[in-house]
Amino acid sequence: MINTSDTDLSAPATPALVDALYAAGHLDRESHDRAMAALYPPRHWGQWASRLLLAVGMVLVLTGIVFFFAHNWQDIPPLIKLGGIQVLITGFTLAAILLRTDTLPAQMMLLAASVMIGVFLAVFGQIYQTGADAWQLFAGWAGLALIWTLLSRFAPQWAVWLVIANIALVLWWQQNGGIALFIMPGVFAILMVFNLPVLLLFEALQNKPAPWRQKAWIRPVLVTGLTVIAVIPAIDSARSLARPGGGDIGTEGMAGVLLLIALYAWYRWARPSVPTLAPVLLGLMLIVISAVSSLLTRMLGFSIEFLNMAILAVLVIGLFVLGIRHLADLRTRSGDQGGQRS
Amino acid sequence: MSRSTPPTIADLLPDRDDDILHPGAGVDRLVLDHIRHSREPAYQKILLGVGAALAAFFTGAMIAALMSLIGLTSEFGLVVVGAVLLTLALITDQQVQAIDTAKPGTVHRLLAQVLYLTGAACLATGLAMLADQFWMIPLALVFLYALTLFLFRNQVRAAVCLTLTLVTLPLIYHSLVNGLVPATWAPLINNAYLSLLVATTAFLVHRSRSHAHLTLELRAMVTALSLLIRNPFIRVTDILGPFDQYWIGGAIALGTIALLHLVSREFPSRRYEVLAAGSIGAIALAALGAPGVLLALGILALGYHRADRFITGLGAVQIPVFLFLYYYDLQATLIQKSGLLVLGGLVLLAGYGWISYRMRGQSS
Repeated sequence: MINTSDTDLSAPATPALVDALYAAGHLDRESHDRAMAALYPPRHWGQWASRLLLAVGMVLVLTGIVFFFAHNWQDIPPLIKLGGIQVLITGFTLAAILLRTDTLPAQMMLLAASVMIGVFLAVFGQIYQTGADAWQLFAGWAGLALIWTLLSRFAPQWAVWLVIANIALVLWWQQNGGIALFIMPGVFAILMVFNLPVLLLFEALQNKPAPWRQKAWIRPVLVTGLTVIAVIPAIDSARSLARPGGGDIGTEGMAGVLLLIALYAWYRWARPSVPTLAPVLLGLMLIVISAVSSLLTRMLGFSIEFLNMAILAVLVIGLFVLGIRHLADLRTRSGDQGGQRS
Repeated sequence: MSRSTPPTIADLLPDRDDDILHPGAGVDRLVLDHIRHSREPAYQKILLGVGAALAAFFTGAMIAALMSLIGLTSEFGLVVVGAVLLTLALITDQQVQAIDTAKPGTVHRLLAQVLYLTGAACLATGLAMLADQFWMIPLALVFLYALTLFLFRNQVRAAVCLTLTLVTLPLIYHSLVNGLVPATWAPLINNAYLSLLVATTAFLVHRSRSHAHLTLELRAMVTALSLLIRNPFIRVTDILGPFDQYWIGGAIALGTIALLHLVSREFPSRRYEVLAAGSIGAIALAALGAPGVLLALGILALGYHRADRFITGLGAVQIPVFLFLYYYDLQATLIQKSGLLVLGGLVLLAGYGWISYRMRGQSS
């Protein structure tokens, strides 16, 4: 026997449940159709399909334009090239103003204008051979596109802007501090220093709610990105424990661990959000597993590999069971229903 | 229940005079199964999957080390260990099913997945070593999957998904592309596998709504199909002949039209309009040699139709991938390619304008 308080029968039904009850003969056709119409009005399909066509259509048009200019056609005079791109930037911006900036088509137009700024800078560099480094192109792009991004009030545009800005930082660090591609000591610290204030700003702005900033995906995406940036150097530091004498843990790795602990504390007590805690907890668990694995390798070596692996298997199962139970408990306590439908 | 208000679970249940669910009763069991599988947050499922994969890796390494330690290095020993682990996974899975609660034990669920993954890996590797053929590993895993589909119930579905999509398919591709499979076998395996996937996916699309526990299988099949049609990392179609490519395009176009037939029932007043426009688009994409783009759009529509975010996301991610591959493979000059992209985009934007116009007309 199961009490309904455990199963929450007052929660909304799903199309799958309606179909299942109908297929099992517990609902008649009329009730099935009525329930489905309420759950899934036909109008939703129209909205969904139109948004899909708008998004894919814009991506295709922009890709075509980018590839056209990327080829650097010699037959087209430079002024026509640059003028053409400027006309497109102006056209997309004017269209956004005419369509009202708080509508989806207008926001797509502003996003298109932002992309065209990058194309303009690339073509400018091609024509005048400015000798600018790649990071300068991305930094200039991020700087100029910020105007359109601020105007857009559109979370995906901010996501694109963040990607461009992060690429600029990585390229800058690669040129100034990198040993080789992907071997860049300190790059994760720089990325943490840049991305943490973005998250803090987002949280500060939650006190002034705006519909475009209230999307459920924004916080987990920002925190997941920051977690990845923090976990990589922390795992690298944890692996150094395997070296005789303990190796150098490094400030970058320590900063990563501290950041994750701070994120956990913040989303656990200050601004409780269970879905946001999940990536942070996963990051912390991976660091612990790496550290224990390294310590075991140092202490036991590969001579008793069986014992080494057995301890790690038990540790992984124990950690993940505790982690999942902890999140489930928090969810039950807070009544958090976020991310329930997968 | 009014037309505009979404019904609750309680609204759907037959008239009842208590607030207690009885797991023995058919309708209550069905509702309970749904609650178990649709109410668990996505992040919890991801953590369970990551934990199971990591623990299975260490457990597998532990078993290999132990076998080496006691001198049991025979292939037959590996097969026996695999079979024992799978049996343990089955017992654990049955115990999970026996727990009549909306929140089955995390330990049991994780253990069932770890045991299944490790057992399947040991058994398949042992069999391949016995036959001295590396390419038998993915084949053994596929057969194992087919054999255990109806033995295991809900709790090891994520493990099955992981095995099938992350391990089996890359191994099959690797074997086919690197000529590890005898040349005479390659087309047979390839086409048999594709046919099996198309048929199973069609079956699951038809049945899975009424069976909540088939959801993960559908996801795995859709993922597998996507990987098989065009893996961006391993050029699968390089080993397919022209016949196979037309077969793939035609099969996906037919599948998309069947899906449109299913979807269009939800708005009877425009059923034929939607069917006609969608069918023309599907046939055009298949004829243009872009089955991947068509598949991605079909998956996206399927995900939306089933209110399944995983499948919707899978389709959304694949659209740019397949568009890029189509562009990359197109036999045309750069200016023609750019023009085609812009033209294609404008056609889609016109479609957006058309739907928006019709929706405005409907609301006014």
